Amino acid sequence: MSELSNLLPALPELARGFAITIALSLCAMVVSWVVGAIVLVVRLSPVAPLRILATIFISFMRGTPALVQLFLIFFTLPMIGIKVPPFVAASITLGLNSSAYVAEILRGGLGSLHPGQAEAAEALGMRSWRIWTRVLLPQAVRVSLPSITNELTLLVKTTPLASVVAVTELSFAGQIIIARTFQPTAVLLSIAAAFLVLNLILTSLAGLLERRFDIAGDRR
Amino acid sequence: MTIPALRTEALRKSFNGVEVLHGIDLSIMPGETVCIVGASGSGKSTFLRCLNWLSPASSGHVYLNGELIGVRETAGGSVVPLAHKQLQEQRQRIGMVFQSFNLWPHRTALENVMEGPRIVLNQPGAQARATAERLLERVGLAERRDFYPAQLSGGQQQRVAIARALAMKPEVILFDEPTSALDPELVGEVLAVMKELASEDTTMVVVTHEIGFAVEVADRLILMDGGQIIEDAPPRQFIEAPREERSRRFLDQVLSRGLAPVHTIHTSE
Repeated sequence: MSELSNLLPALPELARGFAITIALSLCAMVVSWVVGAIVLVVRLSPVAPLRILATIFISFMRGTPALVQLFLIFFTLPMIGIKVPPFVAASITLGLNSSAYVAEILRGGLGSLHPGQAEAAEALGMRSWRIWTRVLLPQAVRVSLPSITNELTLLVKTTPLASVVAVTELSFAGQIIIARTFQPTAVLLSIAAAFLVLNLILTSLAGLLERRFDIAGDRR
Repeated sequence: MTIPALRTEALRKSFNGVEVLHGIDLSIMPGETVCIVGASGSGKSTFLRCLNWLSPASSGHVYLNGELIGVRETAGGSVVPLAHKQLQEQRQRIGMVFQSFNLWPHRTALENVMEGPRIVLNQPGAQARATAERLLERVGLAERRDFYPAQLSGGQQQRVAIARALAMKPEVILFDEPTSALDPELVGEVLAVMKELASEDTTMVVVTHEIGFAVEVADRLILMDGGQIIEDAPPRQFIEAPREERSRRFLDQVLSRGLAPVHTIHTSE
């Protein structure tokens, strides 16, 4: 047990790593939601070239490894003069990667809505972007919430990938501590526990949202 | 001479090369209530959906108080579709009530009615709220304003939908089989609201199976069959002395089922 006391000084380091993991997860989620919603709208656009573009984006993001995508953004963009800090590169990559899934999940949710929902808004004279933001997206998000939650927990667990571009997120901080203390089991169990707690918080927040929506009651 | 509130001219509609409306000419004067009856597949709902361009006509014209709907004439005399923005401005002036209500389930009754004035007409929130509260009271649902659609009966939902259409102060309101999705005991409350609107000289086009309502409330009763108008007459005349053989057959069929009574509305729930 005395060996474990070696780990005490490392706690602030782990805490800092955890904070970065949380920040990275949140930033990537924002990218994922915003880009996901945009990709969905473009994917369903009446303009064929736009539709094709969105389809290509989705296939690429789903069909290639996130690691390769991260390298592409981190190493290739500077070649054309855009320098991206590691944290930003990781947030963008993980977010974009996840956005393809979010877009497809939302598209499924949208398909379950009655066509009359958009029609009522059309008949009222609502503009297209308003129909999306006021009528379609809120409802698509609502029916897709369980699948989206699932996708977001996956996203949180992908954040260790950022360590390859030297973002000292939780798992990378842990590796450094292991190299110094030779306490892999204790460190790895702490890291696992931290991720578990993070995702448990995420799923219970989603659960709260689902229950709130259910009071609004459209379960028929 | 008064301009018709709504007028169609040689209106045709085809789906995948099959023509379902064969050139319909119809004028509806301001304040008139016109009921359209006919068997399923007669084209009456399609016709109604052409009036606000939800289903764009294949050829022919629709005029709202003299203004061409959905299309514009170019300098060269050809007809091109309007930009979506302009079309949506025209649709603000035409209300529509649907068979399946189509209320937005994520918004309360009050929010459903407020949505048009607030989001489409950009009215201040307080003003939109006041209008919506007044209209919900008018359809007898003041107490239910904070309920979500799923917590309301079909009849109540349809009355909210009518209030939602009224909130835009439309020049014409189109009703697409407004009571067809309702349990029989809920039909009366919706018809009562519509009857009151008609008595206040709202211009209304009602596609319906409720022949009793049509006879009682309509200024003109129209029978459609096979994508054409067969009979267009004041209800009494339509019932007592229809010109067409098909009208007589239609009447025999529906009158054998009996007329549904129109109840008076209870203003408080």
